[in-house]
Amino acid sequence: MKIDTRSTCFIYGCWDLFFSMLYLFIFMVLMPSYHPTTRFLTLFFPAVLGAGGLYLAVQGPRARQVGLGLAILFLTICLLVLAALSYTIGMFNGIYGPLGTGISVISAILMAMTVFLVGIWPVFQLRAFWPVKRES
Amino acid sequence: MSTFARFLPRLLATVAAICLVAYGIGYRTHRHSPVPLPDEPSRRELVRILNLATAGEKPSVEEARFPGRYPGDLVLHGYAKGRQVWRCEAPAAPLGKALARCIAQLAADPPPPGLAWRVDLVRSVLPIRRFFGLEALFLLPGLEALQVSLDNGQKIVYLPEDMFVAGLLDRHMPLKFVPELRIGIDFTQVDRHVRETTGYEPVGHCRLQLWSILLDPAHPDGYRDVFRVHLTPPKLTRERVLEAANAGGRYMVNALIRDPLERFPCTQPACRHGYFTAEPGQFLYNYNIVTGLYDFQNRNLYNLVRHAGTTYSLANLFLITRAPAYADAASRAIAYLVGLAGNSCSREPFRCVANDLEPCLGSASLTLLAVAEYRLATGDAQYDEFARGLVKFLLYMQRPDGSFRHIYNLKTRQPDEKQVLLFYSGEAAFALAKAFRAYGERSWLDAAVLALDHLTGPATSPLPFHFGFGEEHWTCQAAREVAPEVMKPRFLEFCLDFSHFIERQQFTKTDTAFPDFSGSYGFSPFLPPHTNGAGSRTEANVSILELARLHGVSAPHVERQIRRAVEHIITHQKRPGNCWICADITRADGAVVNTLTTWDVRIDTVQHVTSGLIRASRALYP
Repeated sequence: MKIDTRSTCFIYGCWDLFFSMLYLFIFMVLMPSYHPTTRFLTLFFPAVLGAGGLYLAVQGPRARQVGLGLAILFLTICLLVLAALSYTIGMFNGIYGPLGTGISVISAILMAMTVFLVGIWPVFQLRAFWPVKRES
Repeated sequence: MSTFARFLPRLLATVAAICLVAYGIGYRTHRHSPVPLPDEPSRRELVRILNLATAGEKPSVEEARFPGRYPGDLVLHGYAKGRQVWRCEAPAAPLGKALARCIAQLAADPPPPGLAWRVDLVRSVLPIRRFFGLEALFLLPGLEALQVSLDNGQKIVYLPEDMFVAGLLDRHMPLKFVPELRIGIDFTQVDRHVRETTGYEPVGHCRLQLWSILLDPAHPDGYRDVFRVHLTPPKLTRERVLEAANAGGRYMVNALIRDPLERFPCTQPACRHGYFTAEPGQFLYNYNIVTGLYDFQNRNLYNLVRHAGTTYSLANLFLITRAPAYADAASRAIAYLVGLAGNSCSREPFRCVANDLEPCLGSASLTLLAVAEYRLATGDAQYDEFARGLVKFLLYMQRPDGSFRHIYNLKTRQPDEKQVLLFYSGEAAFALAKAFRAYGERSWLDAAVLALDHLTGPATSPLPFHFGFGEEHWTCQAAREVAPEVMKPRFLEFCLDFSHFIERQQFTKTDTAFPDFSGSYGFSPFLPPHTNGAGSRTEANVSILELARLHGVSAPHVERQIRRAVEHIITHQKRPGNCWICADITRADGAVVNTLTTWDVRIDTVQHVTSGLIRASRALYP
């Protein structure tokens, strides 16, 4: 099987593998969870990304659809995490009133980090695998 | 334009919209919507009736005058010697009916005279739901009441006082591997307390927003607002500040142990039979003003650095007020240090103070500071030789570049070149400067200036110190002490910048929803601040203000910090009439709590706030 290392699938497959390793490092070494459900979720999705990335890299038959699916999946995760952060900030704002500059800055940094870690690469991947209209 | 180019802005807009909606839901579902209080005439009437009824009279209640319907109870509770001895809880729907019920209960079950009376009215009730452990922070500590629903359908309410007395605030351990970090409510502990006191199983929790007042017939309104189980003090005046400083001074004087056989109550395992005795000359180190119990202490556990700091504070108080009790207490405390020093460094060419084999720079510095201040204040020369020996230790520990080693090892007879501890270098600089002031030895002033050159110069070269400061309050006191003999602009610049930096951490009345934080120093509204910082930073700010004035420089930001901090200290100082849950107000009089949610009083908290107050009284009202 010949793999075209300059193809979109291979490039994004490698990026997916990289981010999969990064997430697994974060959730297995830096911040492992001891709660069963959280542990499952924080390892399951990076594993899915890794498997999908590998499939993309070897350019399986439905690689483009898998690439698209992964991008949509992780954009959705990013959106859910941002929504959860927004809900939490709103919650504490409701309980405590003004949270102060320090906490507001930390909240903004957390949201920015979420976007950078989980939001940017899916947008590029989505763009790369976006369905192209075939001219009849 | 491609479909993706059209899709992307819509995606971003959708994300923004979802985040806003999520924020709004979180905010709205957790923000109280309190039922409005009765209008002012009705409030006054309510309070008038309660004042009469609690004084033993039988006022009539026009229930229709108070038609408001509230989601919880009206609670009237009376306190004597720190304990709740009378309580009425009646559903305030409508308020008039609850008032009538409590008045009837007062008539049927008359309370003993002389109680402090508190009134709480529940204005809003919100459920507390589990949320990944963050629910520990959902109850505003000391401000909101906690309602626990039981499996028999009953509901019990823990008022803020109840939570203080039961020790239910700041008990949650968010990080099991950092047991010292405790913030928020530990619901496991709360549920255990509920089971033990009621015999029923808790099934739900709610947070209650209250209108809280203390009945005060002498006040024009008939009551005073209560906020986190304390009262707002009246306006700051010079007399009030002096009075508060003297109250703190009396607390320290009374905390000095004089009788080796006197017993002090405590509950820790080391306390046999529930009390301990300690060496005369020590200060009682940590006291809980709600339980009335002390932490066990003995020579091995005793903190010498804080003992010395407290001694310095007493000597400083005598210097300013000339009240003999302070000089007497300072003398006894110094005698304890001299006795402890004993033969500690008998083989060395200097003196040191230690209760182990590693005398530290901090103990020696603050002891020297105390002795020098005592000498300045009293002229008593009996500890001069001891002071000179301590100076030799400080000079021995100082390196040629002005920095200090912090620990000396008596076994190896060598200083430890590596350990660096907080505060010690600044304390040493201040102590050397104060010793110069007391004894006139120019070389000691030079050593202090060398230390300050290092602290304000090479010590700030690491990158973090390009953006911030460490704990430099001793450094700036030292900078003031070397003036007017040494007036380096760099010292003033450093200290003004330090004051700017710490002002960013000082709460103001509008930073948070908690006006009682104002004047203290902290990071967020989640963590109630420690009062110690308000004291120590006020000491530094007073020195900085005095130094600025000597340089002819205006420093309004320093002065406003001092005013805020002084107001904070006085707000939280316990005095007769403002501490109805203090177990023994004669012991607690003048105490300032370590934090606003756990009412322990550590001796150095009182030391720093008292020194801050007495020095601020001279700086703010020259």
